[in-house]
Amino acid sequence: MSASDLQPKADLPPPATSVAAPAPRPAAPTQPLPAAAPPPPNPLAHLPFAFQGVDYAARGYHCEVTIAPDQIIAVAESLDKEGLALDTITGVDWIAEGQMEVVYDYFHPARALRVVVRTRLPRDNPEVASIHRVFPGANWHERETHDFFGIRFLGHPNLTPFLLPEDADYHTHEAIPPHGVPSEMFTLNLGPQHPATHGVLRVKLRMDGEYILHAEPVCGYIHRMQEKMGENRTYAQFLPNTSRIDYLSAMTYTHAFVGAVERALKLQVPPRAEYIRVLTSELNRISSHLVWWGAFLLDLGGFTPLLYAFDDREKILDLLEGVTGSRLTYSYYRIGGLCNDVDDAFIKGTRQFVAQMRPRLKMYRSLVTDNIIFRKRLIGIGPISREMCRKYGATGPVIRGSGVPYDVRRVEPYSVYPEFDFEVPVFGEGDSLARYLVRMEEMAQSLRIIEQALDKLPAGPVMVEKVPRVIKLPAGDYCYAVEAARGRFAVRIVSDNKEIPYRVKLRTPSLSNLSLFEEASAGMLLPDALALMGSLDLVIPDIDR
Amino acid sequence: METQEDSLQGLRDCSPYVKFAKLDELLALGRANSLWPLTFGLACCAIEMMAAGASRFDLSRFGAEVFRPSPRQADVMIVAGTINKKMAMAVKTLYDQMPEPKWVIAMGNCAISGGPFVFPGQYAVVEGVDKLFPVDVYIPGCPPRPEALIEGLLKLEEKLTGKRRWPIVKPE
Repeated sequence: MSASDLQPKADLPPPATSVAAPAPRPAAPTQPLPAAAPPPPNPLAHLPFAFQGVDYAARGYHCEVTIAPDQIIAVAESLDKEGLALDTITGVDWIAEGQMEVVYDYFHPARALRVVVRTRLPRDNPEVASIHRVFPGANWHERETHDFFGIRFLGHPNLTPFLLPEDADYHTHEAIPPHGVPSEMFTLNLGPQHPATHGVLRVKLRMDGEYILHAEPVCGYIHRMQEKMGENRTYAQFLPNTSRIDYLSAMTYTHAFVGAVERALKLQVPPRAEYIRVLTSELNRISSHLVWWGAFLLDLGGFTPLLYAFDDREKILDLLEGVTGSRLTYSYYRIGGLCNDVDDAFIKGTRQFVAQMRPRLKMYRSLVTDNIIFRKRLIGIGPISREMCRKYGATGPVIRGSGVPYDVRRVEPYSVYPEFDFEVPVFGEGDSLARYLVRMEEMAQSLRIIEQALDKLPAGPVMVEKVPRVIKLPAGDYCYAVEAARGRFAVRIVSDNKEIPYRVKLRTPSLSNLSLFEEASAGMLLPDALALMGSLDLVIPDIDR
Repeated sequence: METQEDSLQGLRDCSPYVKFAKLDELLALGRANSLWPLTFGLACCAIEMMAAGASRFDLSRFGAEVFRPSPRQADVMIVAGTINKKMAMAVKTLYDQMPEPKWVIAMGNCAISGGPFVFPGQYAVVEGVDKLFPVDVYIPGCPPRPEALIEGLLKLEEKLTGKRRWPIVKPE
């Protein structure tokens, strides 16, 4: 072994001083070796292959042949009959020639006879038959060669990683560095317990230094069988589940489910109930965006905004707790209306909240949104095009940050949203800052909707007079979609005219939004990819359900 | 030859000058005052845990605001959320990685017994974190209020030190 063999492969041209013969060598018949006179003896001249004698003192072996890959087993069998043993199998990557060479070393256990058998394979599809049936010892050598070079040994019983980790999906010869420096490829596991993944998400990252080559999110760590429970619960019993799918935006999720049932039963929800539903949904949207904002800034490294956000959020939670009894997972809406009416304390408190929230949003703008360090972290980071959004089905602030004005409240209006005057914020750059600005502006627009709802709140009952005691939907399927804080949430109920749904399907926004992460994060620096993931605003139980 | 009685008498003679106390009690007080939780929010309860750490409820008053992402640096694992069978191995690994002394608080109904996600034929939820490893304090609720989490931490402190060091606030 010469010193040049110890340097990283990618830096050098094919080493000219390896143990093999002088390069370049075609796969076809061998050239006669430049031998000193007389030519060295050929102990295997009696075999039907073109063995050549080799000067042992110069090369370290007695005999060699270069053959076509389909003769490998035949050579192995005839050498087996000669009583030789398999020494090792070596792979050599002739990058410049576009070929890979497999070198089989055989030796005789009883006398001095070393034989080298070579074969050449095309580099883009290296396959050769496995000789493990002749020499079982070849099993591990072939696995090692597969690990290093990706050469497939056909017929091998267990061609799994031998020296590399069990789940390795790479081969070590592929060390082509993107920036001209020796590559530092490794696999990094992000999660499922991680402060920045917003829940139990695991991302398998193939990294090259700080750059991500390939990110594969692995979901299912908080799969709670929500859809299965839909098949095991009556319609009213399923309501608490709806809050727990996306617990930050729980009101809107309950809205979708009761809306689907009301649509199927053709129930006319009284207007007061509709207005209060819009009111509470928008309060919920603000509280969800506040949690997103605090957590996003925590990911980027700023701790203080989280405390401010939770302070504002506590005010909203106080209001909603006074009405629903719960802080996080409200099951406030009922099929046909609401559980109970709101009181004057709620109305007064909400007006006070709106009044004090507007200056807070201004403060957040000047302290955070206009902060140069913050902007440099986000401008141009994680661009997502309109096409990518469309192909992956991304909705919500993700698609509105890429210039598409898709908001379910406008496109498929539901409840009493058509009666409100509000804007749908759309920013066109498609980077993380655009998605951030969409959500900040949405908070301001939600405040507008809340004010209008308070002004226009009609009197009346909050529950339909005649809701059937036993709720059975006519056979068929019914859909209802809402604009939740994260995007479009839709419920599909398939009914077979029983008390229990036949199937409940929950179309959740975070699943579609995360599915584009694999494509969008390729080639990014890891901290930037985390900024991208934060700007997608994921809630993992929303993905796993 | 000095007997044990002689040694004890010698210690008693020193008592005006040397005070003795159990080191355990001192250590327990130190540990109780600065429980460092592992950030292990799995689902909805995590949000109430974050609210408990935020300004209004402020775990910092009790020394427990330093949430550590790494189990090697944490004392108490607050299991906040549902344990899934896919996640169970990771949870156990995290528990094993925490150095002694360590405690576990099961926060929320899911961590106590699987919560609302237990139904006949359920396939994905581990019914309670005490199926995996021992739990010191159970905090029921779905999700429990931040005050309930704080009370759970105070109960853990009571378990450590043997006495409750903060008054119980009775509603008027």
